[in-house]
Amino acid sequence: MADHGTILVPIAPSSTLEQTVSHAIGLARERDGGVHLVRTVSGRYADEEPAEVDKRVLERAERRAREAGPDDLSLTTAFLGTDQYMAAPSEHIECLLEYAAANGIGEIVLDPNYTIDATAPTLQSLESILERTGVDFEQAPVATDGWQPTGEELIRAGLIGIVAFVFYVGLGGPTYPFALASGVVTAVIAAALLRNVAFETTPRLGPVAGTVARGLYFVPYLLWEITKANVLFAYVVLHPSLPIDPGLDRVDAAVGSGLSVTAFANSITLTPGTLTVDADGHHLLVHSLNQSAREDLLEGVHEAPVRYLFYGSEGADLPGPGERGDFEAILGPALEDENGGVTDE
Amino acid sequence: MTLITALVIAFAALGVFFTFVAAVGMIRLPDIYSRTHAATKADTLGAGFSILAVALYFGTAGEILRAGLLVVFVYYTNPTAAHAIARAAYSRDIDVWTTKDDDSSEETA
Repeated sequence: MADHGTILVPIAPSSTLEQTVSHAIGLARERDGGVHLVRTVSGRYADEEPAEVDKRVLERAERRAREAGPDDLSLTTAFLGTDQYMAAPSEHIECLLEYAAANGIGEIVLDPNYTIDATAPTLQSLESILERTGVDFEQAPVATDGWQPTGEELIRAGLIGIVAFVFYVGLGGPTYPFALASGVVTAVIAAALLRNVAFETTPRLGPVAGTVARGLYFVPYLLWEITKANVLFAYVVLHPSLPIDPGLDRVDAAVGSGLSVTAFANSITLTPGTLTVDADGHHLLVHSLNQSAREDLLEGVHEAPVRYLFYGSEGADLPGPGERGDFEAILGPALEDENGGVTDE
Repeated sequence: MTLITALVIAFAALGVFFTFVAAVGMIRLPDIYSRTHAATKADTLGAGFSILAVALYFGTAGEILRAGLLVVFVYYTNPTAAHAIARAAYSRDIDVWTTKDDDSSEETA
Protein backbone atom coordinates (compact mmCIF):
# COMPACT_ATOMS: atom_id res chain seq x y z
CA MET A 1 0.00 0.00 0.00
CA ALA A 2 1.60 3.22 -1.15
CA ASP A 3 1.88 5.84 1.51
CA HIS A 4 1.32 9.04 -0.40
CA GLY A 5 2.78 11.19 2.30
CA THR A 6 6.26 9.76 1.92
CA ILE A 7 8.67 11.85 -0.08
CA LEU A 8 11.88 10.82 -1.83
CA VAL A 9 14.66 13.34 -2.32
CA PRO A 10 17.60 12.31 -4.53
CA ILE A 11 20.73 13.99 -3.23
CA ALA A 12 23.58 15.48 -5.24
CA PRO A 13 26.10 18.13 -4.24
CA SER A 14 24.49 21.39 -5.33
CA SER A 15 24.16 24.90 -3.97
CA THR A 16 20.39 24.46 -3.53
CA LEU A 17 20.56 21.13 -1.69
CA GLU A 18 19.65 22.65 1.71
CA GLN A 19 16.68 24.58 0.32
CA THR A 20 15.38 21.49 -1.44
CA VAL A 21 15.61 19.39 1.73
CA SER A 22 13.80 22.09 3.70
CA HIS A 23 11.05 22.21 1.10
CA ALA A 24 10.64 18.44 1.20
CA ILE A 25 10.47 18.51 5.01
CA GLY A 26 7.75 21.17 4.80
CA LEU A 27 5.71 19.01 2.44
CA ALA A 28 6.18 15.96 4.64
CA ARG A 29 4.91 17.84 7.69
CA GLU A 30 1.78 18.95 5.82
CA ARG A 31 1.08 15.37 4.81
CA ASP A 32 2.27 13.80 8.00
CA GLY A 33 4.66 11.53 6.12
CA GLY A 34 8.31 10.62 6.17
CA VAL A 35 11.26 11.71 4.09
CA HIS A 36 13.82 9.51 2.35
CA LEU A 37 17.13 11.11 1.38
CA VAL A 38 18.97 8.91 -1.11
CA ARG A 39 22.13 9.17 -3.12
CA THR A 40 22.74 6.91 -6.12
CA VAL A 41 26.34 5.72 -6.43
CA SER A 42 27.54 3.16 -8.92
CA GLY A 43 29.46 0.31 -7.32
CA ARG A 44 32.92 -0.85 -8.35
CA TYR A 45 33.06 -3.97 -6.24
CA ALA A 46 30.03 -5.64 -4.78
CA ASP A 47 31.07 -5.06 -1.15
CA GLU A 48 32.53 -1.59 -1.43
CA GLU A 49 31.77 1.31 0.89
CA PRO A 50 30.58 4.53 -0.77
CA ALA A 51 33.31 7.14 -1.28
CA GLU A 52 33.94 9.79 1.38
CA VAL A 53 32.70 12.55 -0.87
CA ASP A 54 29.36 10.76 -1.30
CA LYS A 55 29.04 10.15 2.43
CA ARG A 56 29.70 13.83 3.13
CA VAL A 57 26.98 15.06 0.79
CA LEU A 58 24.41 12.69 2.28
CA GLU A 59 25.42 13.78 5.80
CA ARG A 60 25.03 17.39 4.73
CA ALA A 61 21.46 16.69 3.61
CA GLU A 62 20.67 14.73 6.75
CA ARG A 63 21.97 17.51 9.01
CA ARG A 64 19.74 19.98 7.26
CA ALA A 65 16.72 17.71 7.55
CA ARG A 66 17.28 17.29 11.32
CA GLU A 67 17.51 21.05 11.75
CA ALA A 68 14.42 21.81 9.69
CA GLY A 69 12.23 18.88 10.73
CA PRO A 70 10.33 18.10 13.92
CA ASP A 71 11.92 15.75 16.45
CA ASP A 72 9.64 12.89 15.53
CA LEU A 73 10.34 13.20 11.81
CA SER A 74 10.58 9.85 10.09
CA LEU A 75 13.83 10.26 8.19
CA THR A 76 15.61 7.58 6.17
CA THR A 77 18.92 7.98 4.37
CA ALA A 78 20.30 5.45 1.93
CA PHE A 79 22.90 4.82 -0.72
CA LEU A 80 21.46 3.15 -3.79
CA GLY A 81 23.23 1.24 -6.51
CA THR A 82 26.43 0.44 -4.63
CA ASP A 83 25.86 -3.24 -5.43
CA GLN A 84 25.38 -2.73 -9.16
CA TYR A 85 26.98 -1.02 -12.12
CA MET A 86 25.24 2.05 -13.43
CA ALA A 87 26.74 3.79 -16.42
CA ALA A 88 23.98 6.02 -17.76
CA PRO A 89 21.77 8.60 -16.02
CA SER A 90 18.76 6.50 -17.02
CA GLU A 91 20.15 3.63 -14.94
CA HIS A 92 20.41 5.91 -11.91
CA ILE A 93 16.80 6.96 -12.46
CA GLU A 94 15.70 3.34 -12.74
CA CYS A 95 17.44 2.63 -9.47
CA LEU A 96 15.60 5.57 -7.82
CA LEU A 97 12.25 4.41 -9.17
CA GLU A 98 12.79 0.85 -7.96
CA TYR A 99 13.55 2.17 -4.50
CA ALA A 100 10.48 4.40 -4.64
CA ALA A 101 8.25 1.48 -5.58
CA ALA A 102 9.74 -0.82 -2.94
CA ASN A 103 9.26 1.75 -0.17
CA GLY A 104 5.79 2.97 -1.11
CA ILE A 105 6.93 6.45 -1.92
CA GLY A 106 4.26 8.81 -3.21
CA GLU A 107 6.30 11.63 -4.60
CA ILE A 108 9.80 12.63 -5.62
CA VAL A 109 11.03 16.12 -4.84
CA LEU A 110 13.78 17.12 -7.21
CA ASP A 111 16.43 19.74 -6.62
CA PRO A 112 16.42 21.88 -9.80
CA ASN A 113 20.22 21.68 -9.73
CA TYR A 114 20.29 17.91 -9.14
CA THR A 115 22.56 16.21 -11.63
CA ILE A 116 23.88 12.68 -11.87
CA ASP A 117 26.89 13.68 -13.90
CA ALA A 118 28.22 16.79 -15.54
CA THR A 119 26.55 16.07 -18.87
CA ALA A 120 23.03 16.15 -17.50
CA PRO A 121 22.19 19.83 -18.03
CA THR A 122 23.22 19.72 -21.69
CA LEU A 123 22.65 16.17 -22.88
CA GLN A 124 20.07 14.47 -20.70
CA SER A 125 17.61 16.38 -18.64
CA LEU A 126 16.44 14.33 -15.68
CA GLU A 127 13.05 15.98 -15.74
CA SER A 128 12.42 14.64 -19.22
CA ILE A 129 13.49 11.10 -18.20
CA LEU A 130 11.23 11.25 -15.13
CA GLU A 131 8.32 12.65 -17.10
CA ARG A 132 8.48 9.69 -19.47
CA THR A 133 8.22 7.27 -16.56
CA GLY A 134 4.95 8.87 -15.44
CA VAL A 135 6.01 9.02 -11.79
CA ASP A 136 4.84 11.85 -9.55
CA PHE A 137 7.56 14.40 -9.05
CA GLU A 138 7.94 18.08 -8.42
CA GLN A 139 10.81 20.48 -8.49
CA ALA A 140 11.55 22.26 -5.26
CA PRO A 141 10.84 26.00 -5.62
CA VAL A 142 14.29 27.27 -4.74
CA ALA A 143 15.69 30.69 -5.49
CA THR A 144 17.99 30.66 -8.47
CA ASP A 145 19.87 33.78 -9.42
CA GLY A 146 19.91 33.24 -13.15
CA TRP A 147 22.53 31.30 -15.02
CA GLN A 148 26.00 31.41 -13.57
CA PRO A 149 28.85 29.11 -14.45
CA THR A 150 29.87 27.06 -11.44
CA GLY A 151 33.52 26.66 -10.47
CA GLU A 152 33.39 23.07 -11.72
CA GLU A 153 32.13 24.19 -15.12
CA LEU A 154 34.97 26.70 -15.37
CA ILE A 155 37.56 24.01 -14.57
CA ARG A 156 36.12 21.71 -17.23
CA ALA A 157 35.91 24.51 -19.80
CA GLY A 158 39.51 25.55 -19.07
CA LEU A 159 40.79 22.00 -19.53
CA ILE A 160 38.92 21.56 -22.82
CA GLY A 161 40.23 24.92 -24.07
CA ILE A 162 43.84 24.02 -23.23
CA VAL A 163 43.61 20.56 -24.82
CA ALA A 164 41.95 21.97 -27.95
CA PHE A 165 44.58 24.69 -28.34
CA VAL A 166 47.54 22.37 -27.77
CA PHE A 167 46.05 19.92 -30.28
CA TYR A 168 45.62 22.72 -32.83
CA VAL A 169 49.20 23.92 -32.41
CA GLY A 170 50.53 20.36 -32.49
CA LEU A 171 48.69 19.41 -35.65
CA GLY A 172 48.97 22.64 -37.61
CA GLY A 173 52.09 24.20 -36.14
CA PRO A 174 51.00 27.79 -36.77
CA THR A 175 53.61 30.44 -36.04
CA TYR A 176 52.13 33.74 -37.17
CA PRO A 177 49.91 35.82 -34.86
CA PHE A 178 46.69 35.58 -36.87
CA ALA A 179 46.71 31.77 -36.83
CA LEU A 180 47.48 31.70 -33.11
CA ALA A 181 44.72 34.22 -32.36
CA SER A 182 42.12 32.31 -34.38
CA GLY A 183 43.23 29.16 -32.58
CA VAL A 184 42.57 30.81 -29.23
CA VAL A 185 39.12 31.95 -30.38
CA THR A 186 38.25 28.46 -31.62
CA ALA A 187 39.47 26.87 -28.38
CA VAL A 188 37.31 29.26 -26.33
CA ILE A 189 34.23 28.42 -28.44
CA ALA A 190 34.91 24.68 -28.11
CA ALA A 191 35.36 25.05 -24.35
CA ALA A 192 32.12 27.00 -23.95
CA LEU A 193 30.07 24.54 -26.00
CA LEU A 194 31.56 21.32 -24.65
CA ARG A 195 32.06 22.11 -20.95
CA ASN A 196 29.10 19.89 -20.02
CA VAL A 197 29.63 17.32 -22.74
CA ALA A 198 33.27 16.28 -22.81
CA PHE A 199 33.60 15.32 -19.14
CA GLU A 200 31.16 13.35 -17.03
CA THR A 201 32.70 14.58 -13.83
CA THR A 202 35.15 17.35 -13.16
CA PRO A 203 38.57 15.67 -13.42
CA ARG A 204 40.49 15.43 -10.14
CA LEU A 205 44.25 15.47 -10.24
CA GLY A 206 44.81 12.25 -8.25
CA PRO A 207 42.52 9.85 -10.14
CA VAL A 208 43.42 11.40 -13.50
CA ALA A 209 47.16 11.03 -12.83
CA GLY A 210 46.56 7.39 -11.85
CA THR A 211 44.54 6.69 -14.98
CA VAL A 212 47.12 8.37 -17.22
CA ALA A 213 49.96 6.42 -15.57
CA ARG A 214 48.07 3.12 -16.01
CA GLY A 215 47.26 4.22 -19.57
CA LEU A 216 51.00 4.06 -20.37
CA TYR A 217 50.69 0.34 -19.73
CA PHE A 218 47.16 -0.05 -21.14
CA VAL A 219 47.77 1.50 -24.58
CA PRO A 220 50.73 -0.70 -25.65
CA TYR A 221 48.84 -3.71 -24.28
CA LEU A 222 45.78 -2.79 -26.34
CA LEU A 223 47.90 -2.21 -29.46
CA TRP A 224 49.51 -5.61 -28.99
CA GLU A 225 46.11 -7.29 -28.56
CA ILE A 226 44.84 -5.52 -31.69
CA THR A 227 47.85 -6.70 -33.69
CA LYS A 228 47.54 -10.28 -32.45
CA ALA A 229 43.81 -10.40 -33.17
CA ASN A 230 44.34 -8.90 -36.63
CA VAL A 231 46.71 -11.72 -37.55
CA LEU A 232 44.01 -14.23 -36.54
CA PHE A 233 41.45 -12.23 -38.49
CA ALA A 234 43.68 -12.27 -41.58
CA TYR A 235 44.00 -16.05 -41.20
CA VAL A 236 40.21 -16.49 -41.00
CA VAL A 237 39.47 -14.20 -43.95
CA LEU A 238 42.15 -15.65 -46.23
CA HIS A 239 41.44 -19.28 -45.33
CA PRO A 240 39.77 -21.02 -48.30
CA SER A 241 36.86 -22.38 -46.24
CA LEU A 242 36.26 -19.10 -44.37
CA PRO A 243 35.99 -20.66 -40.85
CA ILE A 244 33.60 -18.20 -39.20
CA ASP A 245 30.92 -18.99 -36.66
CA PRO A 246 29.23 -15.73 -35.65
CA GLY A 247 27.34 -15.19 -32.42
CA LEU A 248 25.53 -12.35 -30.71
CA ASP A 249 25.69 -11.87 -26.95
CA ARG A 250 24.49 -9.40 -24.39
CA VAL A 251 27.34 -8.62 -22.02
CA ASP A 252 27.02 -6.55 -18.84
CA ALA A 253 30.15 -4.51 -18.35
CA ALA A 254 31.39 -4.37 -14.78
CA VAL A 255 32.18 -0.66 -14.94
CA GLY A 256 30.20 2.23 -13.57
CA SER A 257 30.53 5.33 -15.74
CA GLY A 258 29.85 6.39 -19.29
CA LEU A 259 33.55 6.91 -20.02
CA SER A 260 34.60 3.46 -18.85
CA VAL A 261 31.75 1.78 -20.74
CA THR A 262 32.87 3.68 -23.85
CA ALA A 263 36.46 2.53 -23.34
CA PHE A 264 35.23 -1.06 -22.90
CA ALA A 265 32.94 -0.93 -25.96
CA ASN A 266 35.67 0.62 -28.10
CA SER A 267 38.31 -1.88 -27.09
CA ILE A 268 35.84 -4.65 -27.97
CA THR A 269 35.27 -3.05 -31.36
CA LEU A 270 38.96 -2.30 -32.02
CA THR A 271 39.85 -5.93 -31.45
CA PRO A 272 38.96 -7.81 -34.62
CA GLY A 273 36.53 -10.64 -34.06
CA THR A 274 34.27 -8.70 -31.72
CA LEU A 275 32.06 -5.73 -32.50
CA THR A 276 29.85 -3.70 -30.15
CA VAL A 277 26.49 -3.44 -31.87
CA ASP A 278 24.46 -1.57 -29.28
CA ALA A 279 24.86 -0.13 -25.81
CA ASP A 280 22.20 0.58 -23.22
CA GLY A 281 23.75 1.78 -20.01
CA HIS A 282 26.26 -0.88 -19.08
CA HIS A 283 24.52 -3.57 -21.15
CA LEU A 284 26.36 -4.11 -24.41
CA LEU A 285 25.30 -6.14 -27.42
CA VAL A 286 28.37 -7.75 -28.95
CA HIS A 287 28.69 -9.54 -32.29
CA SER A 288 31.56 -12.00 -32.48
CA LEU A 289 32.92 -13.48 -35.64
CA ASN A 290 34.10 -16.80 -34.25
CA GLN A 291 34.13 -18.84 -31.07
CA SER A 292 37.62 -17.93 -29.93
CA ALA A 293 36.78 -14.21 -30.08
CA ARG A 294 33.60 -14.93 -28.14
CA GLU A 295 35.44 -16.91 -25.47
CA ASP A 296 37.99 -14.11 -25.09
CA LEU A 297 35.14 -11.67 -24.54
CA LEU A 298 33.47 -13.82 -21.90
CA GLU A 299 36.77 -14.48 -20.15
CA GLY A 300 37.19 -10.75 -19.67
CA VAL A 301 40.13 -10.24 -22.03
CA HIS A 302 38.71 -6.80 -22.87
CA GLU A 303 37.14 -6.03 -19.53
CA ALA A 304 40.04 -6.65 -17.16
CA PRO A 305 42.35 -4.05 -18.78
CA VAL A 306 39.59 -1.43 -18.75
CA ARG A 307 38.92 -2.13 -15.07
CA TYR A 308 42.67 -1.89 -14.45
CA LEU A 309 42.74 1.45 -16.28
CA PHE A 310 39.94 3.01 -14.25
CA TYR A 311 40.03 1.19 -10.91
CA GLY A 312 43.67 0.17 -10.43
CA SER A 313 45.26 -3.24 -10.18
CA GLU A 314 42.79 -4.80 -7.71
CA GLY A 315 40.01 -3.90 -10.16
CA ALA A 316 41.43 -6.32 -12.71
CA ASP A 317 40.95 -9.33 -10.43
CA LEU A 318 37.24 -9.70 -11.16
CA PRO A 319 36.32 -12.87 -13.06
CA GLY A 320 35.16 -12.33 -16.65
CA PRO A 321 31.51 -11.76 -17.64
CA GLY A 322 31.17 -15.44 -18.59
CA GLU A 323 32.11 -16.71 -15.14
CA ARG A 324 30.04 -14.02 -13.40
CA GLY A 325 27.02 -14.93 -15.51
CA ASP A 326 26.76 -11.33 -16.72
CA PHE A 327 25.95 -12.32 -20.26
CA GLU A 328 23.21 -13.85 -22.32
CA ALA A 329 23.73 -15.65 -25.61
CA ILE A 330 21.20 -14.27 -28.08
CA LEU A 331 22.22 -15.92 -31.31
CA GLY A 332 24.81 -18.32 -32.56
CA PRO A 333 26.19 -21.70 -31.59
CA ALA A 334 25.70 -23.00 -28.07
CA LEU A 335 28.58 -22.32 -25.74
CA GLU A 336 30.69 -25.22 -24.58
CA ASP A 337 29.44 -25.15 -20.99
CA GLU A 338 27.21 -23.04 -18.80
CA ASN A 339 30.20 -21.01 -17.65
CA GLY A 340 30.51 -19.59 -21.12
CA GLY A 341 33.28 -21.80 -22.46
CA VAL A 342 35.93 -20.79 -19.96
CA THR A 343 36.90 -24.37 -19.22
CA ASP A 344 40.24 -24.13 -21.00
CA GLU A 345 41.52 -21.45 -18.64
CA MET B 1 69.73 0.20 -48.15
CA THR B 2 69.71 1.60 -44.64
CA LEU B 3 67.90 0.07 -41.72
CA ILE B 4 65.35 2.90 -41.80
CA THR B 5 64.54 2.25 -45.45
CA ALA B 6 64.11 -1.44 -44.74
CA LEU B 7 61.74 -0.67 -41.84
CA VAL B 8 59.76 1.80 -43.96
CA ILE B 9 59.34 -0.86 -46.65
CA ALA B 10 58.38 -3.50 -44.07
CA PHE B 11 55.77 -1.30 -42.38
CA ALA B 12 54.35 -0.11 -45.70
CA ALA B 13 54.07 -3.73 -46.82
CA LEU B 14 52.31 -4.70 -43.59
CA GLY B 15 49.96 -1.73 -44.06
CA VAL B 16 49.14 -2.89 -47.58
CA PHE B 17 48.69 -6.49 -46.40
CA PHE B 18 46.15 -5.66 -43.66
CA THR B 19 44.27 -3.24 -45.92
CA PHE B 20 44.16 -6.03 -48.51
CA VAL B 21 42.79 -8.42 -45.87
CA ALA B 22 40.10 -5.86 -45.10
CA ALA B 23 39.13 -5.70 -48.78
CA VAL B 24 39.04 -9.51 -49.10
CA GLY B 25 36.96 -9.76 -45.92
CA MET B 26 34.56 -7.17 -47.28
CA ILE B 27 33.89 -9.41 -50.30
CA ARG B 28 33.96 -12.84 -48.65
CA LEU B 29 32.12 -12.32 -45.36
CA PRO B 30 28.39 -13.09 -45.39
CA ASP B 31 26.49 -10.23 -43.69
CA ILE B 32 26.68 -6.57 -42.75
CA TYR B 33 27.89 -7.27 -39.20
CA SER B 34 30.81 -9.46 -40.17
CA ARG B 35 31.65 -7.10 -43.04
CA THR B 36 31.77 -4.26 -40.57
CA HIS B 37 34.48 -6.20 -38.75
CA ALA B 38 36.51 -6.24 -41.96
CA ALA B 39 35.77 -2.72 -43.11
CA THR B 40 36.66 -0.94 -39.91
CA LYS B 41 39.27 -3.01 -38.15
CA ALA B 42 41.79 -4.78 -40.30
CA ASP B 43 41.79 -1.34 -41.81
CA THR B 44 42.73 0.23 -38.48
CA LEU B 45 45.90 -1.81 -38.25
CA GLY B 46 46.61 -1.26 -41.95
CA ALA B 47 46.35 2.50 -41.47
CA GLY B 48 48.46 2.25 -38.31
CA PHE B 49 51.32 0.50 -40.12
CA SER B 50 51.13 2.90 -43.08
CA ILE B 51 51.28 5.92 -40.78
CA LEU B 52 54.20 4.34 -38.93
CA ALA B 53 56.02 3.98 -42.26
CA VAL B 54 55.33 7.65 -43.05
CA ALA B 55 56.58 8.76 -39.62
CA LEU B 56 59.82 6.78 -40.06
CA TYR B 57 60.31 8.03 -43.61
CA PHE B 58 60.14 11.69 -42.66
CA GLY B 59 61.68 11.14 -39.26
CA THR B 60 61.43 14.73 -37.98
CA ALA B 61 59.85 15.42 -34.58
CA GLY B 62 57.04 17.47 -36.14
CA GLU B 63 56.06 14.76 -38.60
CA ILE B 64 56.21 12.04 -35.95
CA LEU B 65 53.94 14.08 -33.67
CA ARG B 66 51.47 14.64 -36.50
CA ALA B 67 51.54 11.00 -37.50
CA GLY B 68 50.93 10.05 -33.86
CA LEU B 69 47.91 12.35 -33.72
CA LEU B 70 46.61 10.80 -36.95
CA VAL B 71 46.85 7.34 -35.40
CA VAL B 72 44.94 8.59 -32.35
CA PHE B 73 42.23 9.95 -34.66
CA VAL B 74 41.94 6.73 -36.63
CA TYR B 75 41.78 4.65 -33.43
CA TYR B 76 39.03 6.87 -32.03
CA THR B 77 36.89 7.24 -35.13
CA ASN B 78 37.02 3.69 -36.51
CA PRO B 79 35.25 1.98 -33.59
CA THR B 80 32.73 4.82 -33.57
CA ALA B 81 31.97 4.30 -37.27
CA ALA B 82 31.80 0.51 -36.81
CA HIS B 83 29.40 0.95 -33.92
CA ALA B 84 27.23 3.37 -35.90
CA ILE B 85 26.96 0.98 -38.86
CA ALA B 86 26.23 -2.09 -36.73
CA ARG B 87 23.74 -0.23 -34.56
CA ALA B 88 21.88 1.13 -37.59
CA ALA B 89 21.71 -2.37 -39.05
CA TYR B 90 20.51 -3.86 -35.77
CA SER B 91 17.84 -1.24 -35.21
CA ARG B 92 16.45 -2.00 -38.68
CA ASP B 93 16.21 -5.68 -37.67
CA ILE B 94 18.72 -6.92 -40.20
CA ASP B 95 19.32 -10.58 -39.37
CA VAL B 96 22.65 -11.81 -38.09
CA TRP B 97 24.16 -14.52 -40.23
CA THR B 98 24.96 -17.67 -38.29
CA THR B 99 26.30 -21.04 -39.40
CA LYS B 100 22.67 -22.26 -39.48
CA ASP B 101 22.14 -19.99 -42.49
CA ASP B 102 25.07 -21.61 -44.24
CA ASP B 103 23.66 -22.44 -47.64
CA SER B 104 25.61 -21.73 -50.79
CA SER B 105 22.41 -21.44 -52.85
CA GLU B 106 21.04 -18.77 -50.48
CA GLU B 107 18.98 -16.20 -52.33
CA THR B 108 19.14 -12.53 -51.51
CA ALA B 109 15.90 -10.61 -51.32
